[in-house]
Amino acid sequence: MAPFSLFAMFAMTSFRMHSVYRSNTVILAFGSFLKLFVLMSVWQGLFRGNDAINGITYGDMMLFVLINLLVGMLTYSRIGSTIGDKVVSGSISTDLIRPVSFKSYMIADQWGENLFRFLFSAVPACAIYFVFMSIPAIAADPLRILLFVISVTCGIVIIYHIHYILGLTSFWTGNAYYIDWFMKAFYELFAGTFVPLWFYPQWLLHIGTFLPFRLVTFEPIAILAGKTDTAGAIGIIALQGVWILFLLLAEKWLWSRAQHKIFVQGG
Amino acid sequence: MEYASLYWTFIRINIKAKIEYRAAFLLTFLSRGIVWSTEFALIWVLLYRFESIAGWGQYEIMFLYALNLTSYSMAAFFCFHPFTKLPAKVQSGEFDELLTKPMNPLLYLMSREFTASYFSNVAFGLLFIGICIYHLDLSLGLWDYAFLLVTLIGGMLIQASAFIYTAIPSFWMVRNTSLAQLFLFDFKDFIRYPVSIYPASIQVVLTLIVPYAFINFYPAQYFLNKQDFLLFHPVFQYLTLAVGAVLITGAILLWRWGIKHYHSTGS
Repeated sequence: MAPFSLFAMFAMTSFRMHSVYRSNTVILAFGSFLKLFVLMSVWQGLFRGNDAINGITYGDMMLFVLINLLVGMLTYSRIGSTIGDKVVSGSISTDLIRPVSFKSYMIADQWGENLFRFLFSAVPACAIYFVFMSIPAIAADPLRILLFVISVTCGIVIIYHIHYILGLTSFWTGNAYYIDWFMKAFYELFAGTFVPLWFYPQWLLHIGTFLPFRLVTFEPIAILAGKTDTAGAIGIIALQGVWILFLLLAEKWLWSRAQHKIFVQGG
Repeated sequence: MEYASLYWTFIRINIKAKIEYRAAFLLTFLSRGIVWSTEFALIWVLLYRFESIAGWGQYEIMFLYALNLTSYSMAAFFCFHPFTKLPAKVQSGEFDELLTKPMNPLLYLMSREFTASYFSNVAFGLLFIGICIYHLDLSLGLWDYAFLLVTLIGGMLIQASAFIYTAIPSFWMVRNTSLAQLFLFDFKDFIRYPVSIYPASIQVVLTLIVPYAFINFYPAQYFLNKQDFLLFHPVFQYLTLAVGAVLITGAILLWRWGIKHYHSTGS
Protein backbone atom coordinates (compact mmCIF):
# COMPACT_ATOMS: atom_id res chain seq x y z
CA MET A 1 0.00 0.00 0.00
CA ALA A 2 1.17 3.52 -0.74
CA PRO A 3 1.73 6.00 2.08
CA PHE A 4 -1.53 7.43 3.29
CA SER A 5 -0.56 11.03 2.53
CA LEU A 6 -0.20 10.22 -1.17
CA PHE A 7 -3.56 8.47 -1.15
CA ALA A 8 -5.16 11.49 0.52
CA MET A 9 -3.53 13.83 -1.98
CA PHE A 10 -4.91 11.95 -4.97
CA ALA A 11 -8.35 11.84 -3.34
CA MET A 12 -8.25 15.60 -2.66
CA THR A 13 -7.21 16.34 -6.25
CA SER A 14 -10.18 14.39 -7.54
CA PHE A 15 -12.47 16.11 -5.00
CA ARG A 16 -11.32 19.56 -6.15
CA MET A 17 -11.70 18.61 -9.78
CA HIS A 18 -15.34 17.81 -9.18
CA SER A 19 -16.03 20.97 -7.19
CA VAL A 20 -14.89 23.28 -10.01
CA TYR A 21 -18.39 23.48 -11.45
CA ARG A 22 -20.09 24.64 -8.31
CA SER A 23 -23.29 25.91 -9.95
CA ASN A 24 -24.04 22.29 -10.76
CA THR A 25 -24.18 21.31 -7.12
CA VAL A 26 -27.57 22.93 -6.44
CA ILE A 27 -29.09 20.98 -9.32
CA LEU A 28 -27.28 17.84 -8.18
CA ALA A 29 -28.77 18.10 -4.69
CA PHE A 30 -32.21 18.84 -6.11
CA GLY A 31 -31.95 15.77 -8.34
CA SER A 32 -31.10 13.60 -5.36
CA PHE A 33 -34.03 15.03 -3.46
CA LEU A 34 -36.37 14.24 -6.38
CA LYS A 35 -35.24 10.61 -6.32
CA LEU A 36 -35.82 10.56 -2.58
CA PHE A 37 -39.26 12.05 -3.03
CA VAL A 38 -40.23 9.47 -5.67
CA LEU A 39 -39.13 6.62 -3.41
CA MET A 40 -41.02 8.13 -0.49
CA SER A 41 -44.22 8.31 -2.55
CA VAL A 42 -43.73 4.74 -3.77
CA TRP A 43 -43.29 3.31 -0.28
CA GLN A 44 -46.18 5.39 1.03
CA GLY A 45 -48.32 3.99 -1.76
CA LEU A 46 -47.17 0.42 -1.11
CA PHE A 47 -47.73 0.60 2.64
CA ARG A 48 -51.17 2.23 2.32
CA GLY A 49 -53.55 0.16 4.43
CA ASN A 50 -50.74 -1.95 5.93
CA ASP A 51 -49.00 -1.19 9.20
CA ALA A 52 -46.18 -3.64 8.71
CA ILE A 53 -45.22 -6.19 6.10
CA ASN A 54 -42.81 -8.97 7.08
CA GLY A 55 -42.24 -7.00 10.29
CA ILE A 56 -41.11 -3.89 8.40
CA THR A 57 -42.96 -0.60 8.85
CA TYR A 58 -43.06 2.47 6.64
CA GLY A 59 -40.81 4.21 9.18
CA ASP A 60 -38.20 1.43 8.88
CA MET A 61 -38.44 1.71 5.13
CA MET A 62 -37.80 5.46 5.03
CA LEU A 63 -34.80 5.04 7.33
CA PHE A 64 -33.58 2.43 4.87
CA VAL A 65 -34.10 4.75 1.89
CA LEU A 66 -32.30 7.69 3.54
CA ILE A 67 -29.26 5.72 4.70
CA ASN A 68 -29.19 3.95 1.38
CA LEU A 69 -28.95 7.32 -0.37
CA LEU A 70 -26.04 8.40 1.86
CA VAL A 71 -24.16 5.11 1.77
CA GLY A 72 -24.95 4.63 -1.91
CA MET A 73 -22.96 7.76 -2.75
CA LEU A 74 -19.93 6.31 -0.97
CA THR A 75 -20.16 2.87 -2.54
CA TYR A 76 -20.65 4.27 -6.03
CA SER A 77 -17.87 3.18 -8.33
CA ARG A 78 -16.97 3.38 -11.98
CA ILE A 79 -13.49 2.03 -11.36
CA GLY A 80 -14.20 -0.94 -13.61
CA SER A 81 -15.04 1.01 -16.73
CA THR A 82 -12.29 3.57 -16.06
CA ILE A 83 -9.69 0.81 -16.00
CA GLY A 84 -11.25 -0.70 -19.10
CA ASP A 85 -11.04 2.62 -20.95
CA LYS A 86 -7.43 3.08 -19.85
CA VAL A 87 -6.50 -0.38 -21.07
CA VAL A 88 -8.26 0.07 -24.40
CA SER A 89 -6.79 3.53 -25.04
CA GLY A 90 -3.37 2.60 -23.68
CA SER A 91 -3.26 5.54 -21.26
CA ILE A 92 -2.78 3.02 -18.45
CA SER A 93 0.95 3.22 -19.19
CA THR A 94 1.20 6.69 -17.59
CA ASP A 95 -0.75 5.51 -14.55
CA LEU A 96 1.66 2.66 -14.04
CA ILE A 97 4.65 4.98 -13.55
CA ARG A 98 2.97 6.97 -10.76
CA PRO A 99 4.68 6.75 -7.35
CA VAL A 100 1.67 4.94 -5.94
CA SER A 101 0.22 1.54 -6.75
CA PHE A 102 -2.31 1.52 -9.56
CA LYS A 103 -5.02 0.18 -7.30
CA SER A 104 -4.51 2.85 -4.61
CA TYR A 105 -4.58 5.54 -7.26
CA MET A 106 -7.83 4.27 -8.78
CA ILE A 107 -9.49 3.95 -5.38
CA ALA A 108 -8.27 7.38 -4.21
CA ASP A 109 -9.61 8.96 -7.37
CA GLN A 110 -13.02 7.36 -6.81
CA TRP A 111 -13.01 8.38 -3.14
CA GLY A 112 -12.56 12.02 -4.01
CA GLU A 113 -15.50 11.95 -6.39
CA ASN A 114 -17.69 10.04 -3.96
CA LEU A 115 -16.90 12.34 -1.08
CA PHE A 116 -17.87 15.28 -3.25
CA ARG A 117 -21.18 13.71 -4.25
CA PHE A 118 -21.83 12.65 -0.68
CA LEU A 119 -21.33 16.16 0.71
CA PHE A 120 -22.97 18.15 -2.08
CA SER A 121 -25.71 15.84 -3.30
CA ALA A 122 -26.77 13.27 -0.70
CA VAL A 123 -26.35 15.30 2.49
CA PRO A 124 -28.30 18.36 1.21
CA ALA A 125 -31.03 16.08 -0.17
CA CYS A 126 -31.42 14.42 3.23
CA ALA A 127 -31.38 17.84 4.90
CA ILE A 128 -34.25 19.00 2.67
CA TYR A 129 -36.10 15.84 3.59
CA PHE A 130 -35.58 16.41 7.32
CA VAL A 131 -36.81 19.98 7.08
CA PHE A 132 -39.91 19.39 4.94
CA MET A 133 -40.86 15.79 5.71
CA SER A 134 -39.75 14.18 8.93
CA ILE A 135 -36.75 12.97 10.86
CA PRO A 136 -36.62 9.19 11.17
CA ALA A 137 -35.95 7.74 14.58
CA ILE A 138 -32.72 5.84 15.09
CA ALA A 139 -32.08 4.13 18.39
CA ALA A 140 -28.83 5.69 19.55
CA ASP A 141 -27.21 2.45 20.58
CA PRO A 142 -23.44 3.03 20.38
CA LEU A 143 -22.66 -0.66 19.83
CA ARG A 144 -25.05 -0.88 16.92
CA ILE A 145 -23.63 2.29 15.36
CA LEU A 146 -20.10 0.94 15.76
CA LEU A 147 -21.04 -2.36 14.08
CA PHE A 148 -22.72 -0.39 11.30
CA VAL A 149 -19.61 1.73 10.69
CA ILE A 150 -17.38 -1.35 10.57
CA SER A 151 -19.64 -3.25 8.19
CA VAL A 152 -20.19 -0.24 5.93
CA THR A 153 -16.43 0.20 5.64
CA CYS A 154 -16.07 -3.47 4.75
CA GLY A 155 -18.90 -3.06 2.23
CA ILE A 156 -17.08 -0.21 0.51
CA VAL A 157 -13.87 -2.26 0.36
CA ILE A 158 -15.80 -5.17 -1.17
CA ILE A 159 -17.55 -3.19 -3.89
CA TYR A 160 -14.40 -1.29 -4.92
CA HIS A 161 -12.53 -4.57 -5.27
CA ILE A 162 -15.26 -6.17 -7.32
CA HIS A 163 -15.17 -3.21 -9.71
CA TYR A 164 -11.40 -3.27 -9.79
CA ILE A 165 -11.28 -6.98 -10.61
CA LEU A 166 -13.92 -6.57 -13.32
CA GLY A 167 -11.83 -3.72 -14.73
CA LEU A 168 -8.77 -5.97 -14.88
CA THR A 169 -10.65 -8.44 -17.06
CA SER A 170 -10.45 -5.87 -19.85
CA PHE A 171 -6.77 -6.80 -20.24
CA TRP A 172 -8.02 -9.99 -21.81
CA THR A 173 -11.25 -8.88 -23.47
CA GLY A 174 -9.84 -5.64 -24.88
CA ASN A 175 -13.20 -4.01 -24.34
CA ALA A 176 -14.55 -1.84 -21.56
CA TYR A 177 -18.12 -1.49 -22.55
CA TYR A 178 -19.73 -4.41 -20.80
CA ILE A 179 -18.24 -3.76 -17.34
CA ASP A 180 -20.59 -1.03 -16.14
CA TRP A 181 -23.67 -2.63 -17.62
CA PHE A 182 -23.12 -6.09 -16.20
CA MET A 183 -22.15 -4.64 -12.86
CA LYS A 184 -25.23 -2.41 -12.75
CA ALA A 185 -27.54 -5.31 -13.55
CA PHE A 186 -26.09 -7.70 -10.98
CA TYR A 187 -25.78 -5.08 -8.31
CA GLU A 188 -29.34 -3.80 -8.74
CA LEU A 189 -30.77 -7.28 -8.66
CA PHE A 190 -28.82 -8.79 -5.76
CA ALA A 191 -27.67 -5.90 -3.57
CA GLY A 192 -31.14 -5.13 -2.23
CA THR A 193 -30.61 -1.40 -2.47
CA PHE A 194 -33.78 -0.55 -4.37
CA VAL A 195 -36.06 -3.26 -3.04
CA PRO A 196 -34.71 -4.45 0.32
CA LEU A 197 -34.10 -8.19 0.49
CA TRP A 198 -36.85 -8.43 3.14
CA PHE A 199 -39.40 -8.30 0.35
CA TYR A 200 -37.69 -10.68 -2.10
CA PRO A 201 -39.23 -13.96 -3.18
CA GLN A 202 -37.52 -16.86 -1.44
CA TRP A 203 -35.81 -18.35 -4.49
CA LEU A 204 -34.26 -15.03 -5.53
CA LEU A 205 -33.10 -14.41 -1.98
CA HIS A 206 -31.33 -17.77 -2.02
CA ILE A 207 -29.27 -16.83 -5.05
CA GLY A 208 -28.45 -13.46 -3.50
CA THR A 209 -27.24 -15.06 -0.27
CA PHE A 210 -24.30 -16.63 -2.06
CA LEU A 211 -23.22 -13.39 -3.74
CA PRO A 212 -21.27 -10.59 -2.05
CA PHE A 213 -23.53 -7.75 -3.25
CA ARG A 214 -25.94 -7.78 -0.31
CA LEU A 215 -22.98 -7.23 2.03
CA VAL A 216 -22.24 -3.83 0.49
CA THR A 217 -25.11 -1.68 1.73
CA PHE A 218 -28.11 -3.83 2.56
CA GLU A 219 -26.66 -5.78 5.49
CA PRO A 220 -24.99 -2.73 7.12
CA ILE A 221 -28.29 -0.84 7.00
CA ALA A 222 -30.15 -3.83 8.41
CA ILE A 223 -27.71 -3.73 11.32
CA LEU A 224 -28.29 -0.03 11.95
CA ALA A 225 -32.06 -0.39 11.66
CA GLY A 226 -31.96 -3.09 14.32
CA LYS A 227 -33.22 -5.86 12.04
CA THR A 228 -30.07 -7.90 12.66
CA ASP A 229 -29.07 -8.62 16.27
CA THR A 230 -25.52 -8.25 17.63
CA ALA A 231 -24.58 -11.88 17.04
CA GLY A 232 -25.94 -11.70 13.52
CA ALA A 233 -24.06 -8.48 12.90
CA ILE A 234 -20.75 -10.01 13.97
CA GLY A 235 -21.50 -12.94 11.67
CA ILE A 236 -22.06 -10.52 8.79
CA ILE A 237 -18.78 -8.73 9.47
CA ALA A 238 -16.95 -12.07 9.60
CA LEU A 239 -18.49 -13.03 6.27
CA GLN A 240 -17.41 -9.67 4.85
CA GLY A 241 -13.88 -10.41 6.07
CA VAL A 242 -13.88 -13.73 4.23
CA TRP A 243 -15.06 -12.06 1.04
CA ILE A 244 -12.43 -9.32 1.31
CA LEU A 245 -9.73 -11.94 1.75
CA PHE A 246 -10.99 -13.86 -1.26
CA LEU A 247 -11.23 -10.73 -3.42
CA LEU A 248 -7.73 -9.59 -2.39
CA LEU A 249 -6.25 -12.96 -3.38
CA ALA A 250 -8.15 -12.97 -6.67
CA GLU A 251 -7.01 -9.43 -7.40
CA LYS A 252 -3.34 -10.20 -6.62
CA TRP A 253 -3.43 -13.20 -8.90
CA LEU A 254 -5.18 -11.38 -11.74
CA TRP A 255 -2.88 -8.38 -11.45
CA SER A 256 0.24 -10.51 -11.73
CA ARG A 257 -1.20 -12.09 -14.85
CA ALA A 258 -2.27 -8.70 -16.21
CA GLN A 259 1.20 -7.20 -15.78
CA HIS A 260 2.52 -10.02 -17.88
CA LYS A 261 -0.11 -9.12 -20.44
CA ILE A 262 1.04 -5.46 -20.55
CA PHE A 263 4.59 -6.60 -21.09
CA VAL A 264 3.52 -8.69 -24.05
CA GLN A 265 1.45 -5.90 -25.58
CA GLY A 266 4.19 -3.33 -25.08
CA GLY A 267 6.83 -5.41 -26.81
CA MET B 1 -35.72 18.42 -46.92
CA GLU B 2 -33.60 18.94 -50.01
CA TYR B 3 -30.84 16.69 -48.68
CA ALA B 4 -33.08 13.85 -47.55
CA SER B 5 -31.00 11.21 -49.28
CA LEU B 6 -27.82 12.60 -47.73
CA TYR B 7 -29.29 12.42 -44.22
CA TRP B 8 -30.36 8.87 -44.90
CA THR B 9 -26.82 8.03 -46.06
CA PHE B 10 -25.40 9.29 -42.76
CA ILE B 11 -27.76 7.03 -40.85
CA ARG B 12 -26.97 4.06 -43.05
CA ILE B 13 -23.23 4.55 -42.60
CA ASN B 14 -23.70 4.62 -38.83
CA ILE B 15 -25.64 1.39 -38.85
CA LYS B 16 -23.12 -0.29 -41.13
CA ALA B 17 -20.20 0.84 -38.99
CA LYS B 18 -21.79 -0.71 -35.91
CA ILE B 19 -22.75 -3.99 -37.53
CA GLU B 20 -19.29 -4.40 -39.05
CA TYR B 21 -17.91 -5.49 -35.67
CA ARG B 22 -20.40 -8.21 -35.09
CA ALA B 23 -19.05 -9.51 -31.77
CA ALA B 24 -18.92 -6.05 -30.22
CA PHE B 25 -22.42 -5.29 -31.51
CA LEU B 26 -23.75 -8.47 -29.98
CA LEU B 27 -21.99 -7.83 -26.67
CA THR B 28 -23.48 -4.34 -26.53
CA PHE B 29 -26.88 -5.70 -27.43
CA LEU B 30 -26.77 -8.31 -24.68
CA SER B 31 -25.20 -6.26 -21.90
CA ARG B 32 -27.74 -3.47 -22.37
CA GLY B 33 -30.51 -6.03 -22.63
CA ILE B 34 -29.49 -7.53 -19.30
CA VAL B 35 -29.75 -4.13 -17.63
CA TRP B 36 -33.22 -3.40 -19.03
CA SER B 37 -34.40 -6.89 -18.11
CA THR B 38 -33.11 -6.40 -14.57
CA GLU B 39 -34.92 -3.10 -14.18
CA PHE B 40 -38.07 -4.68 -15.61
CA ALA B 41 -37.76 -7.65 -13.26
CA LEU B 42 -37.12 -5.40 -10.26
CA ILE B 43 -40.58 -3.87 -10.66
CA TRP B 44 -41.94 -7.39 -10.41
CA VAL B 45 -39.84 -7.93 -7.26
CA LEU B 46 -40.94 -4.59 -5.78
CA LEU B 47 -44.60 -5.57 -6.06
CA TYR B 48 -44.11 -9.24 -5.19
CA ARG B 49 -45.17 -8.83 -1.53
CA PHE B 50 -47.32 -5.74 -1.91
CA GLU B 51 -49.21 -6.82 -5.07
CA SER B 52 -50.35 -3.34 -6.05
CA ILE B 53 -49.70 0.36 -5.68
CA ALA B 54 -52.59 2.83 -6.00
CA GLY B 55 -54.62 0.05 -7.61
CA TRP B 56 -51.99 -0.76 -10.27
CA GLY B 57 -50.77 -4.34 -10.34
CA GLN B 58 -47.36 -5.83 -11.13
CA TYR B 59 -47.68 -6.10 -14.88
CA GLU B 60 -49.56 -2.82 -15.17
CA ILE B 61 -46.60 -0.96 -13.69
CA MET B 62 -44.24 -2.99 -15.83
CA PHE B 63 -46.31 -1.84 -18.81
CA LEU B 64 -45.65 1.78 -17.77
CA TYR B 65 -41.93 0.98 -17.73
CA ALA B 66 -42.07 -0.70 -21.14
CA LEU B 67 -43.85 2.27 -22.78
CA ASN B 68 -41.30 4.67 -21.30
CA LEU B 69 -38.30 2.58 -22.31
CA THR B 70 -39.50 2.04 -25.86
CA SER B 71 -40.39 5.66 -26.61
CA TYR B 72 -37.20 6.87 -24.93
CA SER B 73 -35.07 4.56 -27.05
CA MET B 74 -36.85 5.57 -30.25
CA ALA B 75 -35.94 9.18 -29.47
CA ALA B 76 -32.44 8.30 -28.28
CA PHE B 77 -31.55 6.85 -31.71
CA PHE B 78 -31.46 10.39 -33.06
CA CYS B 79 -31.10 12.51 -29.96
CA PHE B 80 -28.87 10.98 -27.31
CA HIS B 81 -25.49 11.73 -28.82
CA PRO B 82 -26.28 14.98 -30.63
CA PHE B 83 -27.83 16.72 -27.65
CA THR B 84 -26.11 15.29 -24.61
CA LYS B 85 -22.74 15.94 -26.26
CA LEU B 86 -23.72 19.43 -27.44
CA PRO B 87 -22.26 21.26 -24.41
CA ALA B 88 -18.87 19.68 -25.11
CA LYS B 89 -19.15 20.62 -28.80
CA VAL B 90 -19.95 24.23 -28.00
CA GLN B 91 -17.10 24.37 -25.51
CA SER B 92 -14.56 22.95 -27.96
CA GLY B 93 -15.78 25.03 -30.90
CA GLU B 94 -16.70 21.96 -32.91
CA PHE B 95 -20.23 23.27 -33.08
CA ASP B 96 -19.12 26.35 -35.07
CA GLU B 97 -17.75 24.16 -37.81
CA LEU B 98 -21.10 22.45 -37.99
CA LEU B 99 -22.87 25.74 -38.63
CA THR B 100 -20.77 26.32 -41.74
CA LYS B 101 -22.24 23.26 -43.46
CA PRO B 102 -24.87 24.06 -46.07
CA MET B 103 -27.40 21.91 -44.27
CA ASN B 104 -29.94 22.15 -41.51
CA PRO B 105 -27.76 21.85 -38.37
CA LEU B 106 -30.46 20.01 -36.43
CA LEU B 107 -31.05 17.33 -39.06
CA TYR B 108 -27.35 17.10 -39.80
CA LEU B 109 -26.51 16.44 -36.15
CA MET B 110 -29.35 13.97 -35.69
CA SER B 111 -28.44 11.90 -38.74
CA ARG B 112 -24.66 12.08 -38.44
CA GLU B 113 -24.72 10.99 -34.82
CA PHE B 114 -27.45 8.41 -35.14
CA THR B 115 -26.69 5.71 -32.57
CA ALA B 116 -27.37 2.24 -33.85
CA SER B 117 -26.89 0.55 -30.48
CA TYR B 118 -30.35 1.69 -29.41
CA PHE B 119 -31.75 -1.15 -31.49
CA SER B 120 -31.16 -3.18 -28.36
CA ASN B 121 -33.31 -0.88 -26.24
CA VAL B 122 -36.13 -0.78 -28.74
CA ALA B 123 -36.09 -4.55 -29.18
CA PHE B 124 -36.24 -5.14 -25.44
CA GLY B 125 -38.84 -2.41 -24.96
CA LEU B 126 -41.12 -4.01 -27.52
CA LEU B 127 -40.51 -7.43 -25.98
CA PHE B 128 -41.54 -6.06 -22.57
CA ILE B 129 -44.69 -4.52 -24.01
CA GLY B 130 -45.48 -7.93 -25.49
CA ILE B 131 -44.87 -9.69 -22.17
CA CYS B 132 -47.22 -7.29 -20.38
CA ILE B 133 -49.96 -7.63 -22.99
CA TYR B 134 -49.66 -11.40 -22.68
CA HIS B 135 -49.70 -11.50 -18.87
CA LEU B 136 -52.51 -8.99 -18.51
CA ASP B 137 -54.49 -10.97 -21.05
CA LEU B 138 -55.38 -7.81 -22.96
CA SER B 139 -57.43 -8.49 -26.06
CA LEU B 140 -56.28 -5.79 -28.43
CA GLY B 141 -57.70 -5.36 -31.92
CA LEU B 142 -55.98 -4.00 -34.99
CA TRP B 143 -56.99 -0.43 -34.13
CA ASP B 144 -55.63 -0.80 -30.63
CA TYR B 145 -52.25 -1.79 -32.03
CA ALA B 146 -52.40 1.16 -34.40
CA PHE B 147 -53.13 3.40 -31.43
CA LEU B 148 -50.24 1.81 -29.52
CA LEU B 149 -47.95 2.81 -32.38
CA VAL B 150 -49.36 6.35 -32.38
CA THR B 151 -48.80 6.52 -28.62
CA LEU B 152 -45.21 5.36 -28.95
CA ILE B 153 -44.56 7.96 -31.65
CA GLY B 154 -46.11 10.65 -29.48
CA GLY B 155 -44.00 9.48 -26.56
CA MET B 156 -40.93 9.55 -28.77
CA LEU B 157 -41.64 13.18 -29.70
CA ILE B 158 -42.02 14.14 -26.03
CA GLN B 159 -38.73 12.42 -25.16
CA ALA B 160 -36.98 13.95 -28.17
CA SER B 161 -38.10 17.46 -27.20
CA ALA B 162 -36.78 16.85 -23.68
CA PHE B 163 -33.36 16.17 -25.21
CA ILE B 164 -33.52 19.35 -27.32
CA TYR B 165 -34.85 21.69 -24.60
CA THR B 166 -32.17 20.61 -22.13
CA ALA B 167 -29.40 21.09 -24.73
CA ILE B 168 -30.36 24.61 -25.81
CA PRO B 169 -29.06 26.44 -22.68
CA SER B 170 -25.56 25.20 -23.57
CA PHE B 171 -25.48 27.80 -26.36
CA TRP B 172 -24.87 30.38 -23.65
CA MET B 173 -23.95 28.45 -20.51
CA VAL B 174 -20.81 26.43 -20.82
CA ARG B 175 -21.14 23.08 -19.12
CA ASN B 176 -24.68 22.61 -17.90
CA THR B 177 -24.71 18.82 -17.96
CA SER B 178 -26.41 18.51 -14.60
CA LEU B 179 -29.48 20.36 -15.93
CA ALA B 180 -29.84 17.71 -18.62
CA GLN B 181 -29.28 15.02 -16.02
CA LEU B 182 -32.07 16.52 -13.93
CA PHE B 183 -34.73 16.68 -16.64
CA LEU B 184 -33.75 13.69 -18.74
CA PHE B 185 -33.19 11.21 -15.93
CA ASP B 186 -33.99 12.32 -12.38
CA PHE B 187 -37.30 13.88 -13.35
CA LYS B 188 -38.28 10.87 -15.41
CA ASP B 189 -38.07 8.69 -12.31
CA PHE B 190 -41.55 10.01 -11.52
CA ILE B 191 -43.20 8.21 -14.42
CA ARG B 192 -41.81 4.82 -13.47
CA TYR B 193 -44.85 4.61 -11.22
CA PRO B 194 -48.46 5.67 -11.64
CA VAL B 195 -48.66 9.45 -11.33
CA SER B 196 -51.61 8.98 -8.96
CA ILE B 197 -49.25 8.16 -6.05
CA TYR B 198 -47.93 11.74 -5.96
CA PRO B 199 -49.46 14.84 -4.39
CA ALA B 200 -51.80 16.86 -6.64
CA SER B 201 -49.20 19.58 -7.27
CA ILE B 202 -46.76 17.05 -8.76
CA GLN B 203 -49.54 15.56 -10.87
CA VAL B 204 -50.19 19.00 -12.33
CA VAL B 205 -46.49 19.53 -13.06
CA LEU B 206 -46.20 16.16 -14.79
CA THR B 207 -49.29 16.86 -16.88
CA LEU B 208 -49.03 20.52 -17.80
CA ILE B 209 -45.48 21.75 -17.25
CA VAL B 210 -43.16 18.79 -17.87
CA PRO B 211 -45.81 16.56 -19.45
CA TYR B 212 -44.05 13.23 -19.02
CA ALA B 213 -47.29 11.66 -17.78
CA PHE B 214 -48.44 11.56 -21.41
CA ILE B 215 -45.59 9.18 -22.26
CA ASN B 216 -47.10 6.32 -20.32
CA PHE B 217 -49.55 7.11 -17.51
CA TYR B 218 -52.45 8.58 -19.55
CA PRO B 219 -52.26 6.34 -22.63
CA ALA B 220 -51.78 3.23 -20.48
CA GLN B 221 -55.25 3.79 -19.06
CA TYR B 222 -56.70 3.24 -22.49
CA PHE B 223 -55.01 -0.14 -22.88
CA LEU B 224 -55.58 -1.24 -19.29
CA ASN B 225 -59.18 0.03 -19.05
CA LYS B 226 -58.46 2.32 -16.13
CA GLN B 227 -60.20 5.46 -14.92
CA ASP B 228 -57.44 7.16 -12.93
CA PHE B 229 -57.68 10.61 -14.45
CA LEU B 230 -57.33 12.42 -11.15
CA LEU B 231 -57.79 16.14 -11.71
CA PHE B 232 -58.06 15.85 -15.47
CA HIS B 233 -60.41 14.78 -18.24
CA PRO B 234 -60.43 11.20 -19.63
CA VAL B 235 -59.77 12.62 -23.11
CA PHE B 236 -56.13 12.93 -21.99
CA GLN B 237 -55.57 9.25 -22.79
CA TYR B 238 -55.74 10.10 -26.49
CA LEU B 239 -53.59 13.22 -26.46
CA THR B 240 -50.03 11.83 -26.40
CA LEU B 241 -49.34 12.48 -30.07
CA ALA B 242 -50.81 15.99 -29.91
CA VAL B 243 -48.73 16.88 -26.85
CA GLY B 244 -45.65 15.45 -28.55
CA ALA B 245 -46.30 17.48 -31.71
CA VAL B 246 -46.71 20.74 -29.78
CA LEU B 247 -43.58 20.12 -27.73
CA ILE B 248 -41.37 19.22 -30.67
CA THR B 249 -42.57 22.26 -32.64
CA GLY B 250 -41.69 24.47 -29.69
CA ALA B 251 -38.32 22.75 -29.35
CA ILE B 252 -37.44 23.32 -33.01
CA LEU B 253 -38.50 26.98 -32.89
CA LEU B 254 -36.48 27.54 -29.73
CA TRP B 255 -33.49 25.76 -31.28
CA ARG B 256 -33.63 28.07 -34.33
CA TRP B 257 -33.93 31.12 -32.12
CA GLY B 258 -31.01 29.80 -30.06
CA ILE B 259 -28.76 29.40 -33.09
CA LYS B 260 -29.60 32.94 -34.22
CA HIS B 261 -28.54 34.36 -30.87
CA TYR B 262 -25.58 32.09 -30.38
CA HIS B 263 -22.12 33.50 -29.83
CA SER B 264 -19.17 31.23 -30.25
CA THR B 265 -16.89 30.62 -27.28
CA GLY B 266 -14.11 31.52 -29.66
CA SER B 267 -12.00 28.54 -28.79
